[in-house]
Amino acid sequence: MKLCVTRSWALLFILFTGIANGVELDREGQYSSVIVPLLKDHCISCHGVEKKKGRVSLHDIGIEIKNGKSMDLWARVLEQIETGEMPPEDERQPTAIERQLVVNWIKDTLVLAGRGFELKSKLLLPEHGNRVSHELLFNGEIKGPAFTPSRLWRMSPHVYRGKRYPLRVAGGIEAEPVAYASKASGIRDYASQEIMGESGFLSLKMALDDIISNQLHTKESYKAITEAKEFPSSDAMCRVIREEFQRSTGRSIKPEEMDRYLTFMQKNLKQGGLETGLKISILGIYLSTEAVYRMELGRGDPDEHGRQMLSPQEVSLALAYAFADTPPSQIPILQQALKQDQLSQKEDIEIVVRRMIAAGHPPLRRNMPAAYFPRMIQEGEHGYGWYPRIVRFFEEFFLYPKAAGTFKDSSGEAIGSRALVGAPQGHVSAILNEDNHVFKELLTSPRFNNNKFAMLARLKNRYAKDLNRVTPEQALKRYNEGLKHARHLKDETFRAGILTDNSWLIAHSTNDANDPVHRGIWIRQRLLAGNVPDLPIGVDASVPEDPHKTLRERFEVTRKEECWKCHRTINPLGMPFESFDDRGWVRKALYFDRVKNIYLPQPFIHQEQLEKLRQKGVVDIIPVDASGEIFGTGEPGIDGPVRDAREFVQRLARSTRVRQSIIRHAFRFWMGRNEMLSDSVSLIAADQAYVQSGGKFSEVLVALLTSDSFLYRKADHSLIAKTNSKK
Amino acid sequence: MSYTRREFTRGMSIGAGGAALVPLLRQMKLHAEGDKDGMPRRFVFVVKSSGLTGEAIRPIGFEKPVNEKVLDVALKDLQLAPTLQSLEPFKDQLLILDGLSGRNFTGNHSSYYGALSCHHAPEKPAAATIDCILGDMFPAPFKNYGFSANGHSIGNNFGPIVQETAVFPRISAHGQNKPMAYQASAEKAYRELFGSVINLAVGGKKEFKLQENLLDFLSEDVRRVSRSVSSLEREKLDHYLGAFDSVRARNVQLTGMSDAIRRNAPELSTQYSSKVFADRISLFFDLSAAALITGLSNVISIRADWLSTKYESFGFGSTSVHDIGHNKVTRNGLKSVDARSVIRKFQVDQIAGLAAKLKAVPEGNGTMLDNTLIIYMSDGADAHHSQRKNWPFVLVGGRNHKIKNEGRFLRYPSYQKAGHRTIGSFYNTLLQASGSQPQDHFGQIDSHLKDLDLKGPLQELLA
Repeated sequence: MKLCVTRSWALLFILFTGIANGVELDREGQYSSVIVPLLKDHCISCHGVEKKKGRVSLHDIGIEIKNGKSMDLWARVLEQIETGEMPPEDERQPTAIERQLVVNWIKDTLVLAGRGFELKSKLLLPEHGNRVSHELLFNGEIKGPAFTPSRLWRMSPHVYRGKRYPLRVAGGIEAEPVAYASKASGIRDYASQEIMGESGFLSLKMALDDIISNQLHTKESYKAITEAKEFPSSDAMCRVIREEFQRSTGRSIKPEEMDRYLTFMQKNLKQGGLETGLKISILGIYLSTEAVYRMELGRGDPDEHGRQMLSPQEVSLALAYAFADTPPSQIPILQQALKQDQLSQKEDIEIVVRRMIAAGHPPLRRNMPAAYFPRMIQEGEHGYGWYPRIVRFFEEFFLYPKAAGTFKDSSGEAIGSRALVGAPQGHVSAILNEDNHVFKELLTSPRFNNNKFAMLARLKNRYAKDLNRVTPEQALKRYNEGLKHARHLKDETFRAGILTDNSWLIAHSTNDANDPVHRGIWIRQRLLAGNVPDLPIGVDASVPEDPHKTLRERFEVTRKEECWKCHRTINPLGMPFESFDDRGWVRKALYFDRVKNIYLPQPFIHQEQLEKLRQKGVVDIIPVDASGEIFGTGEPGIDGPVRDAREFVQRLARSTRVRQSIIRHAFRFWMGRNEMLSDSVSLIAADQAYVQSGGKFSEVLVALLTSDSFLYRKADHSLIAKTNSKK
Repeated sequence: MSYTRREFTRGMSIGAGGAALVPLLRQMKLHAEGDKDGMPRRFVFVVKSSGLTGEAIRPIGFEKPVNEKVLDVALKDLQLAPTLQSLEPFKDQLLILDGLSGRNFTGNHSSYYGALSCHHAPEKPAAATIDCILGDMFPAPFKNYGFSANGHSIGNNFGPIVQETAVFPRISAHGQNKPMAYQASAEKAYRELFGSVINLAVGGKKEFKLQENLLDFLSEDVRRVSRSVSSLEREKLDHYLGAFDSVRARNVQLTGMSDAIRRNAPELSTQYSSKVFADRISLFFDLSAAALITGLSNVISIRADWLSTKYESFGFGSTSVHDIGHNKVTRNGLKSVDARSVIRKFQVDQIAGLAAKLKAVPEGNGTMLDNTLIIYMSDGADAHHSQRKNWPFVLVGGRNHKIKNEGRFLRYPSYQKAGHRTIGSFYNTLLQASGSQPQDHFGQIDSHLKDLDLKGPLQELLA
């Protein structure tokens, strides 16, 4: 055991210093002393002189960087090792540190071979976040120091709405010029991915031009210029500049900046006349660098690790956009904190964050059924779970809003798209506001059932409350309205958590069928922090149509050797959701039409009629096979076969890996980037805060927003690559 | 080959600032000399929604397709389909192209960017689209110009039917993740295209001059911030600077063309503020003609309609294009197939109007139409929910484009049959005919067609 620990520490030491036995190892040195032994231990027996599985042999791979073939092969090896595809699961596995050493060495080699740009850009993509070793992030061996590379972060499309430019142009400013470049299927707002280029500039300029033009003769401060009898006064100009600067950047203008803008405006008014001159001048403010990019440079003195803490002004901006889309100038708590200098020490910042959480937010109108929303407001619904950015994290994580846009060709019982998304959104925010074992609740809560009994209980509860708020007649009227609705509900008890909600199921379905592959990929990536290799080029990833077979039978094609290598890690995680049809209704059986010799789409017919048809021998009723398997958590009691969706999600909800995986995604969302190994301390703190508080997500937020990863910046950007390779 | 971002940015700003004038000068020189081969090539893509069926555009007597072999017949003695009648005067440079597929560029009702890029790109652009590639090959002050009455605003298509701002109809892209904006407002399009020389209440000549102040001010602002950030972040700012440079370069070009712009600018009318969808589309075609004739752009894309479009002025009431695709009867009692014909006839009539305007302008030894190819197609092949096994096109004009389109109905064998070809092959043909280096393929290859030889352009089309 002692030997083991010693070796592990030695390797960790090499990992971070590149030094072995007191000698600094160069690339060749690391190859011969670290990489070759690992290749021999784990790879050569299958990929060597005698066996060449998959026509790959590594015994003579070579490390000459000018050798393109050899570098191509290393790139393939990297993909396999980084995603955990190799060594195969039934073989002895290298430790996390050993794996990381090989990954780092190959990356260094590929960088030298001129392939650094590809590697670096891949590393920054949201979909590659899980490639950072989960074990090393959470085993506590890496002690930091954590930081985020200093950066410019392009204002998100949502932030433009938050700037409250008076919009009269439908679809204008929130449109694609500032849309995300990242995939809609992941965490979206990544600082490294978003750039304001030519098309963004031109379209944004067009939209802003309209917004300003519409106000030239309506807004008082503008009128003082456009309708001035003589050349406008400096006061009138300064007022416009001050107000518009504050609106567009979220901070007060400094005197030297005011001078610059004033000179600019005077020149424009003289040359272009009052209207045109004013418009061009305001465009200069709205399109300035700081209005299109958030500055996160770190302004304090560097500490011993070369990190600089964000300035109070930067902290206020970062916190404002952590909770909502409005600038700090519109958030009183942050304004007060700025005035009282409470944003320069970590302890003070924690107090401010807690204050923001305690203050909460009223419900968001978005996705809420029109009739329901005013009532929520009236009933005083409130809590931190309604902050726009918190709602958005869970939207981007679970992707349930995608259900509203999933078009259905299959026959079956429809659900209104607003209700489809509004209901789970309400549940998610309620779970957050209750703030008790949040992940477990999200994954297993029975409230996602369309359950008549639960609805009746809720109605009674509300009736009792209503009696204190409105007249007895009104309370009774509301109760009776609810009762009408409740009668249409099914008596479900099977559903558990959001993954069994119609919305998540539909969002992860095709036009006419269940989609076990994308469901499996979602589980693997989002809940198990796992990797799924890119779809190989040239592979036809369609499942053959065949009405004579069940979906599970049609999926047999994925058992071909070249497919099964990846699909074995996906299908068993998606198949438990066969407990539902493609619109997310619970089902226990499939129906086989013996006359037509095909499986019937469902639900196509009422139970009683089905029973009659069965008795006549026209239809066979076949129980659904919703079995699947969990693997890869390494946790006893979690890995293993499951019977159906309910057992599946309940077991996942108990897993440490699942908890940490959700926290990793929250980290990405709030940091706007992928994890680096140096973020280990921040992640562990967030994980512990959750565990120790009995599952409060608010504590995860506090931990993340007061972490070094959130508050510190470091200027050398090459560190993005190096932290994951070599320090 | 891979570029670093910095290399890319550098290339971009050089391209925009320095080299942009060269093609224009070359073009002007050729105009003067009347060199047929060196004439500008122009393209107009008219992209409709909800499918363009083969049956609707095939000549009378050929409605049922031949599936096994290439069918190539002259249109001269044939009668055009009823909704294509207005193209009769252009029959000598008309090509009805049928039987190509694009099965792998999926999407729900539309292939979105995939329709013009031949990539699976329903959500965001995966590669440059053919119109943008051609725009780069035949540059003008506006390399590409797009018209679309509405389009996406943050991922939904529920905005007003006729919008008044830049929109993203998800059709054209300059490259991966670089969607091209279209203009929904006719007034703004007018200001952008012709405003540099005309006195207008909003925008116009005065503002055009003042833009230089804005660009200088913003450039200085970016440079000031650049000094305090590290190299990687500076690259982000280089992109922003690059944007100012291209606007500046364009403004220089527009200044040089002021006479031509003044001469060809259309009259502003009350129709420009009309919210009637069909009016807006007609204006787009007028503006396109004027922009092409002036030389403001050589490649124009028109999004002819959209799933949520409602042709209320045709008496369809609130029945949308999507509803019609799902067999809903219009308010004036038209069944789906008839309503589709009304829409198609309207669009084809617009195309015919554009072709007539171009034909009226002499150029070289012929007319402008000889140097302008109009391509009419759908973003979703041949049906509302299409499998994209047949993706028909109607091509008008472009006699000098080195494409054999002198009055032909050309149909390729059906999907997976020997000799079948794809829309990628067609775009490849356009590129090669336009002087691009020969390539095996354009875009992604359909794995269901791996047994067929899809390499190279459509030989039947190459002149």
